[in-house]
Amino acid sequence: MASPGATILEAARSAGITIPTVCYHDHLTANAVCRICVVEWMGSRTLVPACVAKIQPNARIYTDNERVRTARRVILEMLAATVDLSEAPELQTLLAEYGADPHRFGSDAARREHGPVKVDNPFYVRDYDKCILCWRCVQVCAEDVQFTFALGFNGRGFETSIATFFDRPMPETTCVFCGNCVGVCPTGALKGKREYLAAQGAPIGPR
Amino acid sequence: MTYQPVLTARLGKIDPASLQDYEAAGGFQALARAVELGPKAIVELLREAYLLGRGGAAFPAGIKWKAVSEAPAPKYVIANADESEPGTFKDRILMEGDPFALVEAMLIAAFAVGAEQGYIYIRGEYPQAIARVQHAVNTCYNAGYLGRNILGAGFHFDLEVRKGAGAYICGEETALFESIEGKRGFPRLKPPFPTECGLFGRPTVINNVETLLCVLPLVLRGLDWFKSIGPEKSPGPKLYCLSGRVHRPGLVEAPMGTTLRTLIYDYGGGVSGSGELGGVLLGGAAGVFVTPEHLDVSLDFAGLRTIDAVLGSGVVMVFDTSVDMKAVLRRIARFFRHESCGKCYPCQLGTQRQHEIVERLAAGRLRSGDLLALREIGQTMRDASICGLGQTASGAILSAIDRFGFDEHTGRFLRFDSNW
Amino acid sequence: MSTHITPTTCPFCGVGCQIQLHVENNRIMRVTADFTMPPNYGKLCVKGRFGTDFVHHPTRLKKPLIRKDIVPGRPFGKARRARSLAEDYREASWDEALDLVADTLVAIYRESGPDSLGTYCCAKATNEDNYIFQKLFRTLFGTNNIDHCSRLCHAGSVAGLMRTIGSAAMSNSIAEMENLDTFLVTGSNTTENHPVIALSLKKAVARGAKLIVVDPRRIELVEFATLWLQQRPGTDVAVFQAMANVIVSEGLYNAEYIAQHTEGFEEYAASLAPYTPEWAEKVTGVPAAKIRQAARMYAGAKVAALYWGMGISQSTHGADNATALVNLAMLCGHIGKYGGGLNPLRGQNNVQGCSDMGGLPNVLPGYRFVTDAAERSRFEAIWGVTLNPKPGLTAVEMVHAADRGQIRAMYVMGEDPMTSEPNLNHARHALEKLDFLVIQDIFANETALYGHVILPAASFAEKAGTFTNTERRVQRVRPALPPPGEARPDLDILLDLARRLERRLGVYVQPGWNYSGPAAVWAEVGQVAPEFRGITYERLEKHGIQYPCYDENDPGTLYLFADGVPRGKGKFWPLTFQEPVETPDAVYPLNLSTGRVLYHWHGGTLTRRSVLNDIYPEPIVEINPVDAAAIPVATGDLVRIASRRGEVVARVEVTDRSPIGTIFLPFHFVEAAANLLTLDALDPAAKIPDYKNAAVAITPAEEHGWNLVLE
Ligand SMILES: Cc1cc2nc3c(=O)[nH]c(=O)nc-3n(C[C@H](O)[C@H](O)[C@H](O)COP(=O)(O)O)c2cc1C
Ligand code: SF4
Ligand code: SF4
Ligand code: SF4
Ligand code: FES
Repeated sequence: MASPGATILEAARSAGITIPTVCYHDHLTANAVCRICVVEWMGSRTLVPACVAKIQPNARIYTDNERVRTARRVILEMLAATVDLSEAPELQTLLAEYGADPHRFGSDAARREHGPVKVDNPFYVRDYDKCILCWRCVQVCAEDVQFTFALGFNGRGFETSIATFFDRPMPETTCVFCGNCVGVCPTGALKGKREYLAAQGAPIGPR
Repeated sequence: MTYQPVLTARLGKIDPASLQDYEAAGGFQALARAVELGPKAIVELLREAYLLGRGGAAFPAGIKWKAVSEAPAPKYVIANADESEPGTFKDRILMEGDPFALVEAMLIAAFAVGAEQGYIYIRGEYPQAIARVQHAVNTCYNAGYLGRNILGAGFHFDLEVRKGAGAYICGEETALFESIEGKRGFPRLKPPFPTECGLFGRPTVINNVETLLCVLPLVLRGLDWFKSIGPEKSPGPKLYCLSGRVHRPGLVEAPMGTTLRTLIYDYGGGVSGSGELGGVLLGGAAGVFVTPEHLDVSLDFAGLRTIDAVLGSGVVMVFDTSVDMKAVLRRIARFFRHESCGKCYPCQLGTQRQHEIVERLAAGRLRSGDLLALREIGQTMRDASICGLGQTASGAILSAIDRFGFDEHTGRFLRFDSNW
Repeated sequence: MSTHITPTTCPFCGVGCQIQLHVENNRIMRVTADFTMPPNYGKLCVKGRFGTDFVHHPTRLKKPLIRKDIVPGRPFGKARRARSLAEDYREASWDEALDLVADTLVAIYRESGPDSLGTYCCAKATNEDNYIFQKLFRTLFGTNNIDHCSRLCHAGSVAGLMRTIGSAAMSNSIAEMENLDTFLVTGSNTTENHPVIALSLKKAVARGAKLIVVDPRRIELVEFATLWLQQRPGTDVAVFQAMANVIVSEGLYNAEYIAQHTEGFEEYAASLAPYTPEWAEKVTGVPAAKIRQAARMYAGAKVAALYWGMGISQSTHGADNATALVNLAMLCGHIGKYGGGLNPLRGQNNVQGCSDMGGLPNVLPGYRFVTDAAERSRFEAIWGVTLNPKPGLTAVEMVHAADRGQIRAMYVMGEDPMTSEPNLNHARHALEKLDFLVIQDIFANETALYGHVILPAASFAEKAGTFTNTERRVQRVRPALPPPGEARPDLDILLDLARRLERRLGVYVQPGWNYSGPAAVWAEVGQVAPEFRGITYERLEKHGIQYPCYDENDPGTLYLFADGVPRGKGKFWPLTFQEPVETPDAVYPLNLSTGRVLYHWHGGTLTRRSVLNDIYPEPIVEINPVDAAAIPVATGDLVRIASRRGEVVARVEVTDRSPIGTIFLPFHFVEAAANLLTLDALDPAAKIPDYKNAAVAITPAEEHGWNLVLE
């Protein structure tokens, strides 16, 4: 039996039921933005996100019915049609599992493109074509970990992006290069500069 | 038409900058009455009146007030005057023509729930309304209606006018809190609800301007009067924003539950343009289309649910048969694409994909699979989005496709395209 | 390309973050952290996350080096600074190098006795390295001249804590920090020097804890503070004495705790009478009302913690500063409780462990005093040799002794006294009098260039062992890479040398010098110091354990003193306030405070050779806008900073982090070595120099004249 105050996700896990997640991270505040984890709670008008919704006694919850699977599949399809997921193996697996077809929107469907990879500091690079806007980096840079508030948002809707204030280069922000953001980025949008250079085929000297 | 308007009664009859005028026209009598009744009785009155929120979600105001009145201080009251729903203009007219009424209503709300600080959050594109309400607030401070020990009744209330951030989403109550707190206007997850954790994390009553103004006559004239107007399940006066192809568009105050036919033909003087009614968009971009078959349905929150429609913020936008419905849908799709805040995936991505498909629909270049995708995206946004924006972003478009006889093969709306 | 992931411990600061080295083709490509692992639970700072690339730096020492003018069997000259490695050294085999070291040390020892040797063990090396190091010199040579840089950072705290409660370790734990109720941070720029600990402190504030910052500088934590007491530099004791005065005069003290657990209260309470907040306001510049508020906040809390750093310890009144803090904690009974305690934050990755292992002149492993006959004989029984009962010389004293010619040979493992000692010009003259200087290190740092022999060691990423972090947590260090060239782990080098010495000296130590590896050494540590006995390598496989830990079922100790303090009764010490030794005057009108910055670490040996140097490549002096305007200089200008002892050039950053009248200069930069300016006056009790107060003058400079050559 799930402990009181547990989320649906936690309750499901302890019952051995898998609910997929994307934005959720076990050790960070859940912002429930990806909605991959939605489940059907009988009596609720909409689906509810399992990563934040608290379980209640006698709730009837479907974690994997048709309505739920459709929502997950469509979200995954739209995401893969928008973002470069080539370095996000877990998302690739989910796409396959849900039979998602990102090509259904046509080859002319807009992708989120941000221009060249941002290489503006000695430590890490930002390749926002790979960013799924999971919010983790913003969260760790703020109250979850670092209290530095160097990362925020720019634009809105489809054009939302993670950005510094006025898009300044990282060294001109409050960033302290802890790299805790890099540590939680699930897609390779944030990665160490050394790794990035190595992947470019650059000789990796120590410096 | 025996109904006597109450919400709009003073419009055009008083100088909106004059406190004397307002007082002479019955202003601040409701406040005096409220002070006599005491907070508990007002909250009780509101509950029994079953006043439903006029901002769109139709939630009973009494339940919110009661919860906040029982919560620990500090707490806040907020007037939601962001009014960004396309086709809505009622709050602007009320604030421009009768600004003291909003201040008085806020005072009653604050008195009833025990808040000492309030905000009126007004859409940035309403400079006139902002100026008039600000003037009213300043005047009320000078007259002792705001500040410390109001009316000698020992209660304190500070009221601040905030200019909206220029985004549709900032009308969503939790995004509005974020905006007042100086953050980016992202909606919050609910629960927790504003009554428990609202502005600055404190219990908060937030109501639409019209909802608040309904409180004044309710307090003055009493429960029986209120209940005598409109249907039992959603009583009271209602403002309808009548627009589009009617001869006399404008703000209509009528009993809740007036029929579409009465609005269009009695108040609006009938359909203009081709003269033949094509359809009506109820509730604005976030609403749904209805057809001439629905002319006799009662325009109230409960009645519309029976035909899968919504009243929303009271938009009644009339389209004659000559209208280019595909262009209308394209505007709606573009609107949502533009206004999505980008927080949750279904809406952030769905409004883009929906717009792409609707553009193709409008250009007559739909591909096979597009309509299925449109429906699945719509369902996903409705089911899985965080806030009302995403949840309603597909309603108008899908209802048009379903109700106006869209023909997938010809790419035409039978109801509209035949006439042009 | 296959990636191999090795969990290990961060080599930089005393937080002891657990890191995972992702190695591809013998290169560290990425560093991550496990979110389930104490003490950092997935969090890192820039140094741990990105700064470990120093291990790949081309200047790593790869072969033993011997000075070119040394010819076997012939006398050779004194230590002097080499022009460069290439010009003045030749490569040698390990056999040749270690034989030379063994022969020469033995010869000098035979001529001049045990006191002619001076040694520096290493706060960066493992517990096992340091245990063997001190055992080697104590047992084979009978010398107690063993110290390390903790003398230069922590000794003030040690002296203050030992004389009051009898234990110098940080009493409470990192895990408690997020849940604090009230806490006071003083003399610690925690966000830069213990970055990951600072995260927990900030979290505590976000969760509603009250923070009192007592610091002359507007450090980042000030933004999070409920109260900021900005005292004039060097007047810490006055602030704390006045807080104690308030607590006593307003009756806010914990009478029950005082009665049960302390002694000397009456006398101490009486001694506080002159130290009123009004008096303190005059001395410290902190408004009396704020001192009262702070006293009430600290004393009024159900439990409150004290955190401090170098600002308290590195002073000629370091012992008094720490004592004043202990007095406060005892007054309020904020000791021996979750969320309370006395928490000196330790600087280096293993500065705690190095002391624990007996890397100090006066104590054997586990802080058993060399003067304690019973303890000594216990060790003698285990090691099978007679030990020297006389405490040895401390770090700065060894330099003075070298200057006098009393110390003739020095063995320096991984330390860089030529950057970290105060008054460097004097230290250089002293080193130049040495007959023999042995360096064992991974890089040729400034001190190494004076060495006769330089032995190349393996870095943290290339060896096994344990580090002990600031909260007494013993954690594993695991090899992820092979060492470069012929470099060898410190432990290997020391054991090899010990075997060579044993033959030459004819002294045979139990159980010999053929340990199977660090685990066997650690097992012996548990044997000589039972508080480590429950900590085994097997248990450490899962996660670190906080000592004391007496047996394998003991979970370790989250916080100390739940059952009283080691001294039995905590002793209140009446204090008298004294001004810093050197205060600004007409010629040297500014006060210099030295310290560290986020992107560098210690003498800079490692961080200057890592990508960290790219973001902070040159010495920067922080000057308050008022002082800057008076000189006048602006951000980006070069200035010459001169004290009575030396001068350096640094680039200016005008900032109100520095208070008016005080400038701040980090000590990580050899080209502007802050310690050319500092004084070598010592705290009488702790023998720690004052790195936070020196009088300096500033003039604009045209050129910097820096020429950083990394050997
Ligand atoms: C995207 C979005 C925009 C909204 N805009 C407004 C608005 O402009 N004015 C308003 O009163 N309510 C608006 N709402 C509804 C508010 O969230 C909230 O329900 C309302 O302020 C509550 O007041 P009521 O109960 O008096 O209707 C909006 C909701 C959504 C989802
Ligand atoms: S950069 Fe990475 S962590 Fe940040 S929002 Fe994008 S995908 Fe998430
Ligand atoms: S539904 Fe749309 S507007 Fe609402 S939170 Fe999600 S992205 Fe933002
Ligand atoms: S806080 Fe200290 S131990 Fe942790 S990563 Fe930074 S330098 Fe390493
Ligand atoms: S995992 Fe729950 S919303 Fe993303």
